[in-house]
Amino acid sequence: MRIQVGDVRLFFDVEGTKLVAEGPWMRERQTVVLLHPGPGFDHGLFKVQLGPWLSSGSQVVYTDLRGGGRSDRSTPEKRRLERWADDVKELCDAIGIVRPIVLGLGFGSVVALKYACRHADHPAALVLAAPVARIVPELSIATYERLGGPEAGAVAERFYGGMDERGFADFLRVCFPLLSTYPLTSDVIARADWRPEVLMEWMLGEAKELDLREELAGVQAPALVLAGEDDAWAPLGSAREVAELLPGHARFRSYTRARHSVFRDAPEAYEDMRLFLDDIEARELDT
Amino acid sequence: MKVAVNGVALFFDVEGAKVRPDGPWMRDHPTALLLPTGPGLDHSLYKEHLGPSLAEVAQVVYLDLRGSGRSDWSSADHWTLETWTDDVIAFCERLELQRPALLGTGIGGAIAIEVAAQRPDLVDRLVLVSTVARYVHSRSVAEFDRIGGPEAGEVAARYYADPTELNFADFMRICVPLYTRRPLPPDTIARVEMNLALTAHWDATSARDFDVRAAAARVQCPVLVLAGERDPATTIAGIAELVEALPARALRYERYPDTGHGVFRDRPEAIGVVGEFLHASQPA
Repeated sequence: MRIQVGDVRLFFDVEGTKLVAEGPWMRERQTVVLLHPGPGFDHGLFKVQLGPWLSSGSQVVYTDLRGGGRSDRSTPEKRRLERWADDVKELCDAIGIVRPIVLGLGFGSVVALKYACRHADHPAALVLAAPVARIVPELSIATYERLGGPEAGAVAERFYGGMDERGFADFLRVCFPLLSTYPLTSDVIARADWRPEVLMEWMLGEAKELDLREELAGVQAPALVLAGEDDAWAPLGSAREVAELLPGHARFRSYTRARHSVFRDAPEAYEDMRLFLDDIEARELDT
Repeated sequence: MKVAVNGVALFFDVEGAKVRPDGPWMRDHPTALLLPTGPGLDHSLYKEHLGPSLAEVAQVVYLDLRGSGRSDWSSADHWTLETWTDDVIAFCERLELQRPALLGTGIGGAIAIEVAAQRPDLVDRLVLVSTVARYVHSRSVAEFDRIGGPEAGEVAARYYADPTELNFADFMRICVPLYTRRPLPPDTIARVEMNLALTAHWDATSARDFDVRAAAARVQCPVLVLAGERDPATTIAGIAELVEALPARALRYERYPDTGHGVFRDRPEAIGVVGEFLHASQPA
């Protein structure tokens, strides 16, 4: 399905019903909106494990952020965090999703944070997997080097220094595989519907000046922050910084040997998420 | 979820992803839009068996029509086949449903026929469950009489002639339990959100004169018709009349003996027939 939101049509897909038959009742479940890494990627990688797992207890809404997947491409001046964040809010409003739990991974968690800053009373809760408030190249470069040796460190340095297409190709070859502990299979690569130019454009543009540190004080929703200790995209220090800057009520969990693909690499993250979602459900029922 | 169309907010729910990983592919699955048996009932009956089973092979979209369930109830002058048809068309367009299969029971089937006749570009195929082109009340009265005895026939005749609250209460008590062989469990009934004002209004107005035979003749897409031979609400004679009106080119007609209204409760195996039909390749 796609729906018009402002100047673009956004693709969304759904797994699991909102209302489930339970004895004499139609019970309402929570809705979890999933925001994919990127920008320029699509929602597909969530459909292997995370989405199906979540859909056993809640309604899961997948979306492709503007510029990626089956959503409209939009234009460079609108492929910016503010717009992506507002898209999330407007998508929810257009299809009647009220008080969602918004879950982002990597870039998706940055969008989730920006959305929660700009629309503080909209989400019921945030799950931030591998988030950053800003990009600190030295931390990422050091992690790539630690995981992949000097070549990986050098390629990452060129990538963060302002890459060209050649540097980007090297990054994909040498550094990208270091973002997860499991090898990317040909199936996973074949299924991805992604736009490398959108990623490059953002990394060379807005990412360089990204800094949400002050804004985070305005987030009202309770949050769970999940971090991989071997994540080169969102190094442990950056993820912890997010948890510390969120006002008062962020829960922080980090996992040894987990990389950017936190959920794949740290199955115990699912248990932490279950506890958090149960707490949110109880909290929402109270209000 | 809700979406605004034609000035009202329509509630919809979804089961099963449209796009699913399958080896190197992200594979699109058919969309099945389920139009509730009406009028005045919500989508919940579909969640018991049909929806969850179909979701294994298709993306299932449940919809509460204007006037029922969690959609805006609007007002009685909008509780017509025309408005519901316009709403379903607008709903498909607003959500960019990609040529869904429309599955309707009872009035839901009549709406599906109208949508397919008016907008062949929007609809891939139709599944018409216990659907008639028009009500001929004498047929239903005779069936109630045959299945439930003279009292059931009399109560039905009285209600059809004069759908007051009092007669409706009798009809609910005596006649509705005869709709299916297997009784509706109390929990299932408790889960339904009913707009009785709509039911009464419909029975006093459009139910008396709607006729989708002309629309049925214009349907171009493949059609699956499922019928119970022991259905006093939409009688087998009425369904046969609809089948006659539909173009024979891509029609599949399945009738089940000793089966009541809605078919799936008495014949769970019919759900498999629907799943198979949704995936059958279109005739050239």
